[in-house]
Amino acid sequence: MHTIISAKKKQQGVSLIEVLVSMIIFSVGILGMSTLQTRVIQENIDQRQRDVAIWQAQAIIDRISLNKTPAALTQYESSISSSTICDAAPATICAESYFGAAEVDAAICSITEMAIYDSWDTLCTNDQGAADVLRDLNAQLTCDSTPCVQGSNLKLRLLWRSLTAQSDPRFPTTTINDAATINDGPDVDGYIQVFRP
Amino acid sequence: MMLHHKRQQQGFTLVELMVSILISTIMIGVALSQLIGSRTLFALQEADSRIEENARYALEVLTSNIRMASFVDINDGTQATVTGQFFSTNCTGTLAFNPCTEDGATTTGTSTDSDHFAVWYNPPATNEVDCSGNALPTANTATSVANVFYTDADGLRCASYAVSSSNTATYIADSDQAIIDGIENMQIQYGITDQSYGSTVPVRYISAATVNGIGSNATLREKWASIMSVRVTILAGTGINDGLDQAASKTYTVSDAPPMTFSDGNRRKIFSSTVAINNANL
Repeated sequence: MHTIISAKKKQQGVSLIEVLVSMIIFSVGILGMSTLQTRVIQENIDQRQRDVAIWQAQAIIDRISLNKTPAALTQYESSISSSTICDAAPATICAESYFGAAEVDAAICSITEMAIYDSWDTLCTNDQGAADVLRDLNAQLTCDSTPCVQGSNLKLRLLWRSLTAQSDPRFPTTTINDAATINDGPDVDGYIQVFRP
Repeated sequence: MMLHHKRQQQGFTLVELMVSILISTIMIGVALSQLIGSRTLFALQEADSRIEENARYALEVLTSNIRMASFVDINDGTQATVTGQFFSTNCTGTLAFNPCTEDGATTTGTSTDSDHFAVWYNPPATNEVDCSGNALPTANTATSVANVFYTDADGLRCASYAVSSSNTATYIADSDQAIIDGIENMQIQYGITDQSYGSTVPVRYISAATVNGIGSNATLREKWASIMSVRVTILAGTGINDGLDQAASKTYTVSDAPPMTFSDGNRRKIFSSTVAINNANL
């Protein structure tokens, strides 16, 4: 009994200040770790955006290479670059499809109607998520010659808002839709492919 | 005696203890919510990349097959006769699975009206293999081959058939294999020209059933010979029960199949690819 009492008398404990300081040091470490983790996740999301963009560009190029008369190419240029292409479904639907529960037969399309439909179908409806994953997607198709003919160089540029992209002069921020209202992404990422249909 | 002991002690006061408990509770709470949040995100991202890998591989296999579709026999100049590029006769018979291009033929669970799709081509002498990459039996090396793609509970499957010069198909033993899991539904649309001579631009994309139904006086060969391109649309999942989708139920519209509603909470995505048939119009 006697020894226990004397042991307790000597106990010093840790002061609250000491505990607080060690907690601060500890939490700085934890914060660093979680920042790292957040960064990894953001990079991952950006990687997926790029995957989807490349996939989407490929889908567009596939379709253009099937419909490449000068009139069609000119229509692709204006439809893909149009900022209102996703506002409404095109008047002519060139593939059998469903709108809600209603089945729509495929209309027989002219080459320009096919170009409008293709632009809308690839940029606006695909569930792999051009619209979901690529925030504020902005597409542009330009041709290096007028009129645009088979064998001209076409340049497809996709821009979207990413979480970690560094600023790149090829991808100007001002061309993103609704630039004024979205502030949570630091910069714009993009993908450019030049092809000959 | 007891009182005397307590007076001598030096540890924390109750207030100090409570303050430090409060602080550590908050810290642990923050750390836990971080951990749970990032775990969910990681799981979601892993599921998404799994879906993308499944879809990419499936589309790769399908598109490389489509690019080979159709043929002219270099020995006697005969064309693929029955339906041009897509072997679509003989849908019923005694074989375990007949080569057949058919609209909405398979229903597996909630996935309805998945298409069958038979690509008919003549493999080059240096690459006489069936769907799963095994060498063709020597008896079949001189014939053309129909690769039939379809989906079931295992995902995307493919079976190979040897097609004789009289258009009889024989199942190639052991060629029916699951290629990749997670592919729950496959819809094939055919880009058809306006059927005027020499036209190569597809004017609309229609299902196999519609192709068979057009122009009552055209032969099957004439109808299918007007196909210039194929659009493959697949509904891809992870192939496992990931349960990562928050929505109670989700509806997917895959090309021309009636909308499908799933309530199992698994993540899915729709992928599509449009491929020109290089050998069309042979």
